[in-house]
Amino acid sequence: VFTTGQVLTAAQMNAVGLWLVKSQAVGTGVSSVTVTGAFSADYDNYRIIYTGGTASTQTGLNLTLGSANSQYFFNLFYSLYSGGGLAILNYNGTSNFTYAGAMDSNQNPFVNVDVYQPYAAASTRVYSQWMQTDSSGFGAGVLKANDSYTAFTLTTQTGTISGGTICVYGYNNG
Amino acid sequence: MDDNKKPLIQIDDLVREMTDDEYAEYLARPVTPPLGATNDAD
Repeated sequence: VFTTGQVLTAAQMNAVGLWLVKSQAVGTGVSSVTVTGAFSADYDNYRIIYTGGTASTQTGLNLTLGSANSQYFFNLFYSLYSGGGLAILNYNGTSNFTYAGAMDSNQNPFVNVDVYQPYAAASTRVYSQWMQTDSSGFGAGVLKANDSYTAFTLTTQTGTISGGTICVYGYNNG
Repeated sequence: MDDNKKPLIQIDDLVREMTDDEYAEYLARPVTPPLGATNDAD
């Protein structure tokens, strides 16, 4: 715990566990948002959170890393609050992490994704939360290309998003 | 959206219309059906 007026050393600052790397305000009526300068050698693993915006329709947000457009493997597990059991969507070598984020009928886009080792020239793993007006669940997968990425893009499947902020945090290894 | 306008995309703070190539790719993209479309209120 720090005290008022305390001078913090590099070692102390580098021990801060979660560091805000970048925040990006989302414009009005856009179908995709690319955030550059998100990943670097500074951190191995990251969390991306997008809240506070509005969505034009109920659908999903897809996540792509850099310019990679293939080798995305992803499963989404979800269930409706109204019942009907567990549904599983399998994406076996697609062009993005499909349904990594949600857009719903009450205009709430929501993204909370952990991204593991996107900057390393190795496969990149993701774990996402799916929270929607009518359903909830989670997704997990891997981008099998052994490439390094500094940017990511959130793309609506249909419709647009407006407003809110995308925040990128780096997990500090200390 | 105006039928004559291409969708908007954003790169950091820059918001612009898609280029012709980007729009062609957008139109050809796979679209998956919405999940849980019961339209329940929050």
